[in-house]
Amino acid sequence: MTTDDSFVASEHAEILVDLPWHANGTLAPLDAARVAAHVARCDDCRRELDALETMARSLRPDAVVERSPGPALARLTAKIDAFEARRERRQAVLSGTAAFFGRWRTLALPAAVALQAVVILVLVVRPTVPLVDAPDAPARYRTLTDAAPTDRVRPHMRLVFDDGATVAQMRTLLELIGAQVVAGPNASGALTVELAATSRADADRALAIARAGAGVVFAEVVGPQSPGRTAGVEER
Amino acid sequence: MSEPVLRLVSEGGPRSEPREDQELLARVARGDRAAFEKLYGRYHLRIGRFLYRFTANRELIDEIVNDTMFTVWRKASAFRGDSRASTWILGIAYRRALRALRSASRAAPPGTTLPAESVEAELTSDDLAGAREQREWIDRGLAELPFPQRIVIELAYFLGLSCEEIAVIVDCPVNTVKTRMFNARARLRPVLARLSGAEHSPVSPARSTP
Repeated sequence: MTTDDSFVASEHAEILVDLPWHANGTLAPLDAARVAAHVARCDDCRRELDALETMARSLRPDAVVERSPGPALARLTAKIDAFEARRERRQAVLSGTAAFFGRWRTLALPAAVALQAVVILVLVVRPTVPLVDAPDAPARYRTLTDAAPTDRVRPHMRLVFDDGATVAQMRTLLELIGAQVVAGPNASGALTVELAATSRADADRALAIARAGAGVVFAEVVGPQSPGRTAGVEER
Repeated sequence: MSEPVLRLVSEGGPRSEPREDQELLARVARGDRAAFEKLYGRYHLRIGRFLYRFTANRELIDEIVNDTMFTVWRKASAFRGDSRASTWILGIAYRRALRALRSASRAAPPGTTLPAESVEAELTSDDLAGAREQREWIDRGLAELPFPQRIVIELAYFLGLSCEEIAVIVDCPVNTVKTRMFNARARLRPVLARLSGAEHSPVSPARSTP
């Protein structure tokens, strides 16, 4: 076999593989031109192409009577409606859950900051309290026979904020009632604040403001300014 | 159950891929029901007619078409345009059809798959008889082929798809499609010889590659 012969055989083999795609018109233009040129001089390939084109024509769908898609589409539409309804319900549940956790996140951060602020305040205030009383300092306890002290410390108030209260709300309330944190929060989350009020009327007014304050779930004056509500024993 | 409504449908050639399909698919991805119904109308016809080559069970065909289009509705947003919209949809239909036909085992026996409603009005009665005979001859030959080989021929000549598109649809390399086509032609040698009017087909494994 000469070089020319082997080239022709190789080309013939390649064209044979491409013939079916030439017959259905999907070959790229350059390949189609190459096949057409070969077919023009190769009887075998021309007969094969004729047969393939006949088969393609025979199989190709012409105008046909078809059923309307209406009934089948109606069934599918009902299925899609049900699917979409389920998806919407699932998304509603998911978004509700996300909102819940999102709200929880937004509340948790300020609450943690508030707690930190309180702890810092306590740590700052604590060192000002002498660990050991001076020798001439008055006794820090009372007995049942003691007279009521005349230089009573200012009234205290117990405050409990809800988890959603922000640091800004807490600070605003403390400013409104003229108070500063002196202890807490305890195990119940209650803060003890010292009021600037010196009269019972002022303390009651501060109490009313506190109870109406945003984020406050509990407010009560403790100590002598609120007789009958506590034993009158204060904690420092 | 009401009688199915019949209509006469005529489409363009197999290569007249409507570019509108891609736009419709994009609208379907956004939940556009009108676009979906339009797309459904096109593919109910195209897929249904193709499946009718394999089964005469109309209910099964509708079931496969609806499964396909339900997937299209749910997954339209996943279509990235790597292939033509029609190739993507036909790939889904191919997988659904394979599963449904295998599990249902309701495929029509060979020789019963010719659509009875075919309209070949341009042919004379003699031509019509000849065309029907020719088609039956081809169908009998195709029915004898292994399914992977037959599906390549059906996709190429019934739907007019390219070798590359068929490779995407049946999820195999392009060379595998070429090989299946070549082997199918070898098996169909008597049919092709008759179609070409020759005694022997020129397709000879000794002279060809894959």
